[in-house]
Amino acid sequence: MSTALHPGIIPEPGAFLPHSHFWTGEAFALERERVFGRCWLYMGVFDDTDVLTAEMAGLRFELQRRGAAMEGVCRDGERVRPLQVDHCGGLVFARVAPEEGRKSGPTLAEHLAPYGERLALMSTNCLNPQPPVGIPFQANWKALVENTMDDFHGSTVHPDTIHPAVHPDWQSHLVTERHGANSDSRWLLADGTAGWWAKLDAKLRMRRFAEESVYRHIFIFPNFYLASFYGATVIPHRVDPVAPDASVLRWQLFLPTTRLETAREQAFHRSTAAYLIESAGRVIAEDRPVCEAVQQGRPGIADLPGFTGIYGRRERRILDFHQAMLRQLGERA
Amino acid sequence: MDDRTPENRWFHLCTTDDLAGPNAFVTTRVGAVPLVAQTIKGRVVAFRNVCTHRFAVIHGEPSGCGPLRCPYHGWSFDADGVPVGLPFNPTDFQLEAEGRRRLALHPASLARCGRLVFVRVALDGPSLEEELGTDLFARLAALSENFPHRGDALEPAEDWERIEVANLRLHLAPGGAALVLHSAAPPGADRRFSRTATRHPAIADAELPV
Repeated sequence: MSTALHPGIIPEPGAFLPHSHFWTGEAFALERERVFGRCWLYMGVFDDTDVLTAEMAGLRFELQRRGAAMEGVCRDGERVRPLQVDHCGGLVFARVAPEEGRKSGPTLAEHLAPYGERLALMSTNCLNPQPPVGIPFQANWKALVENTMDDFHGSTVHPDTIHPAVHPDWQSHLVTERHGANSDSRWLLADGTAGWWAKLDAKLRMRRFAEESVYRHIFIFPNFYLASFYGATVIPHRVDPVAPDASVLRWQLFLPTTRLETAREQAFHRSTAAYLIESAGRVIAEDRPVCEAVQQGRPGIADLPGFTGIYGRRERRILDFHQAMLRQLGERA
Repeated sequence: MDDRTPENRWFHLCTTDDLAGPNAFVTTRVGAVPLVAQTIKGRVVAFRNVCTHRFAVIHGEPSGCGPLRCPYHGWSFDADGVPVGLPFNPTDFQLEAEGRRRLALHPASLARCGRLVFVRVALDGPSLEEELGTDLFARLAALSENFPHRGDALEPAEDWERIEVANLRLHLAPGGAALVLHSAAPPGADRRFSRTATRHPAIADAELPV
């Protein structure tokens, strides 16, 4: 274990989002305009329908693929704006096209940096899509983002699910990289968990984008993260704002089985996918009450000056997110 | 009409019996502020029910029994509201005594009137006795002391005496046979924070089952 000192950070006012940004309609409207109306946003992975749709903060995104060409619009009531659509491997992103005279903003590659190549590599495992899942939370979308980037609530919130699945000495093995708004955490799997995946691999012959016995979590600002297990299974997640105090966590499991010829192999693939979806749902069901507890708690201390919380060594990604949000919200048209 | 904000008013929370056991707690919400009253090592204390680490509500249930411990990251707090159990403190926070004190829970006002427990968000303001007036305070204190036993629920009838104070409505049965306490949820709190209890006089002791 590292002996370096990592004192918790009590942020100064201005270094994190005001508490009111977690429940007011004004903040929600500002995010709708300056975050979801401007940033590159993850839309999904095209399937045979060649159509992708998404709703975030009251904006409706509609994308179509025609051959290699992709296009789309953003509907905001009666207002319809064209989308810029791009992809990173199989992952499709879009943003509202900047209006004439407004600065063009980063390219998708710049927005994903430094994880573009890795995401493209991981997306090669977006095979055998399972039905998308959406789980509603009675909490602001940023409470979910904070939750997913918090690397150390496993023992308290997930004592019987995630916690035993990662290495007992997870603290020594956890690797977190931070690059401004985007970041990556990697957890070494417990021997038993890695062994379970190895057995699964032996049966399903999973495609692996990397020989790694880790749970990997790459966060891309503002609301996308790609989780993976064992360098094989990938699960794109997106947190969709619905209202100032409501959001939906949408995710989709890809189980990249390569041996699917026989009925028996197909049945095993189906049952494994169902088990993984059920397990992921159980973990999310554990996160929901704490996200909602934060939603209920924040307004209760917002009147107290200096009540800024504290961010420990494994919570720095959250402050990075706050600062990226402040930059994005401060951006003028 | 009382034009003070809810945060500056006293609200009835529970009775001392509800807080009698070790780590017994009762919660409510006043406006946007979650509050908790809890017995910790023999002391009854009241705080904003919000963790100072990352702002989660600590006790989510209206009442119960358990340490004042945040469900999110396991921070636990002592009777002064100071975090005493911080998982991963040596590696992740390195908070010494002073740093912990800076992260103490924010206190709330707590007052007793006989067996009745009241809370207020604001720390400053008139005492409960000043707010109720000496006579009413004394009457409530005496009534609550005279009805020490919780019993089967009774429905107050028309001829019961009715006393209303703050969010509390008391119904006194003729002849002092029973007292029904009904606490309405404070403004901003949902109905699960309203409470009704029927209490019986001390003289009925001999008739109560052992």
